[in-house]
Formats: sequence, C-alpha cells, structure tokens
Amino acid sequence: MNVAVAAFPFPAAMIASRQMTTQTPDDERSRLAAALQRVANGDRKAFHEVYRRTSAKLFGVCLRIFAEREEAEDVLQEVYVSVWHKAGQFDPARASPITWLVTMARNRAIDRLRARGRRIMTPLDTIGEPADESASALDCMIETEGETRIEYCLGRLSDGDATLIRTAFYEGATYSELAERSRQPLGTIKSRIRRAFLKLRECLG
Amino acid sequence: MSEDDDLMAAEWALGLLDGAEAEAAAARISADPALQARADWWRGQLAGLAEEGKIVPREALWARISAALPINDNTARLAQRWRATALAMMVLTVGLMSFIVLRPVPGSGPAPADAAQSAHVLLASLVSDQALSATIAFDPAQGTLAVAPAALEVGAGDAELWIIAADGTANSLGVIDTHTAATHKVAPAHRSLIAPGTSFAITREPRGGSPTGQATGPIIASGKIIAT
Repeated sequence: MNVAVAAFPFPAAMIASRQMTTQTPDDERSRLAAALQRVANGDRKAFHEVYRRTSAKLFGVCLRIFAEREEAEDVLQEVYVSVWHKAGQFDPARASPITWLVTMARNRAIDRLRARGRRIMTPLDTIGEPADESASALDCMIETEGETRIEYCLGRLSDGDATLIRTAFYEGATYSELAERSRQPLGTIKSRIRRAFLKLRECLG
Repeated sequence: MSEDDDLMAAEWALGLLDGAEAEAAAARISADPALQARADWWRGQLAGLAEEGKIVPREALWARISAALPINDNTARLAQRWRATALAMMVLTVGLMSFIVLRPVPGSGPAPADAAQSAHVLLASLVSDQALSATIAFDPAQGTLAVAPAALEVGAGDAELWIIAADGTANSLGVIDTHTAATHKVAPAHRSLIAPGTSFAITREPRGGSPTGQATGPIIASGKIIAT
C-alpha cells in the first residue's frame, strides 16, 4: 500500500506525519465546513485555515497525478483559487468538506492532464496476479491507527484489485485505459472492479 | 436500489466510464436523487484515499496562492478592524490633508473651509494577510493622495500602488515609499477612478516600478475605498 508513496521523489521525512490532535473527525468536519462558509463571504483568514488544514492532503493528490513538483504546485494553486471562488457552492448536506476539496483537486488535476493531451500509459504489470483470496482475515482485522476506512478496506482486496482502484482514483484512468494498460480484456477489468466495489461496500458498511 | 445501480453510482464517482456510458450514467444520476446520494457516498469514501499520501507543500506556495486571489473586498472583518483604527487614522489623515491644503497659500483660508474639504476625503486601509499595511487618503479637490505606510515589506523591489477600476483593470499610481508617509499628485485621468467601492492594491515590482505598465508582481496589500 505504501509503494506509491515511496515512489515519490522526496525523502520520507517530507511526508506529513498524521496530526497528533485529539480532535474527532466530526469536529474537524464541522470546523472545516464553517471555515468554508466564511470563505464564501470573502474571509481570507478562514481561507488560510482551510489551506492549513487541507493542503497536505490535496498536494498529495496533485503529486500522484503530476510527479513533477512544480506542476503539482501549479495545480494546487489553481485548486485553491477556485476554492476561494466556489466556496459558496459547497453543500454540507451532500459532501464532507474534505470530500468536496479532494474531488475538486482530483478533477482539476485530471482535467489538466487531459487538456495537455497527456495520458499516463505506464503499464500496470502487477494487477495480473491472481487474487489472493487466502489472505488471512485475522491479519486484516485490525485497522492500523490513523488508517482511513477506505485504506483498510482496500487492504483487504487483492493487491491487483486495489491497484486498479487506486489507479482510477489518482490517475483518472477509465475502464478502457485500465484494460489497455494492464493488457487485459475490457470485460475482465470491468467485472474485477465491480466485484471489488461489492467487497468494498460490504467492508465500508 | 438494485446492485447494478449502486455499481453504476460507484463507477460514476470514480470516473471509470467514458463515452456513451458516461453520458448515460450522468443523465440517470442527475435525474435520480437516490442515485445521486449513492454517488456522493462513494465519492466520500474514495476521498479517504487522500489521507495516504499527505505531503506538506512548500511555505512559499501559500504566499503565491494568497497573491493570486482577486482584490480583497475587505468586508465584515476589515470593517471591524477599521472601526478600531478609524479614529486614530482620521486624526492623522485630516491633519495631513489640512497641511497639504494649506501649504500652497499659507495663512489663507479659514479653518472651517479645511474641515469642509476633509469631509470629502476618500479613505482606504490596505491590509495584507496579517496586518494593516498602509492607509491612503485621497483628496478629490486637490487630486492628491496621502499614503501612510504601516507595515509594508516588499523585499528587494519597489512597492507600486494601483487603483483597480470597476472593470478590474489596474492603473498605476506610481511607486510609493514603504517607510515614510508621503503625498502624491494623481494624474488627472486617474482621479475619477478613485471612488468609493473601487480598490487600491500594492504590488511588488522591480526597482523603479513595473516595466510594462501592468502589475507583474504579487499583491502585497489591498483595500477598498470608502467615503468619509
């Protein structure tokens, strides 16, 4: 699971450590939602707060898509400038603030990639491995501290299926791109991912 | 909700579909709140992936982003700060304006006339991210601008003052001193641009000011003009 992180051209020390706070996710969520509302009213201080709380996550997303730091920074800048303009469109009833922000970062980065006519076409070699259905359920029962539910649940899929989903998430790869890159039939890829979704749904609850 | 529909919501949330399939899914999801809720749910779950590769961006990026924002409207928050400093500034600027008005013809003009002049002065307090950067008073009658810098740091370069017209175009009012209060004569063509509701901005420019006539550097401070 940490392979992609380790592949970044930065020393491990630069990877943000998880914040050691006693805040619950709900606190964080409502604080961010409130800050976004103030941003919608043109409050720069609130905007700085949103940036402080979320930029490491969003930068991580941008860096997955654009390995070059400068380009990832350009995207991150575009993302936050559009957060400034669009904060009023954030609807707390539909999404958590972080989901909204991550979606914005991901869409912006993928759009930029496509606008330049660039596609990541790195072959996906590892996904051909047979699904390891025998992975000990017990080994996987304990969530690592700080791990999000989705990370935990992806960890319970076969490595290949988890890679397919991560590649779709981080690189905006569609079914047909995944099929091309993994040199597998489109139908195979579709049914693998759909099966993986059903397992995820069960795990995520 | 059928399993197929839920899977479609997941595929849509992750962006796996393309072409006709993507269009069909978009049409169905936008027409069906239940499907939309499922797509939102999937999107929310997948967004958790952003936790796994957190990397703190360089400090300088915040400054860049902050400078890329449009001129601050300086609404409620600034208004509060304003009230706190307004009295002190008024004393300062009215004093300054009286000085400017009086200097050309020392001894002429009774005091009440000065007070009347001051009533039409336009004020702006320019703020950067953290603090009050400068206070500016414009006297339309004289076409003069009194600039009182507070905390104005431009590093290796000059601070250039701009008036941002209603249509968003920036017109240079010249390079300003970042340490000492000074008055400037405003070119007649630019005087009408300085009006309540428009904004001043200060950018960092090369020595001597922007070579192009357009702002080239980051915005150091900005503030809206209000009538006194």
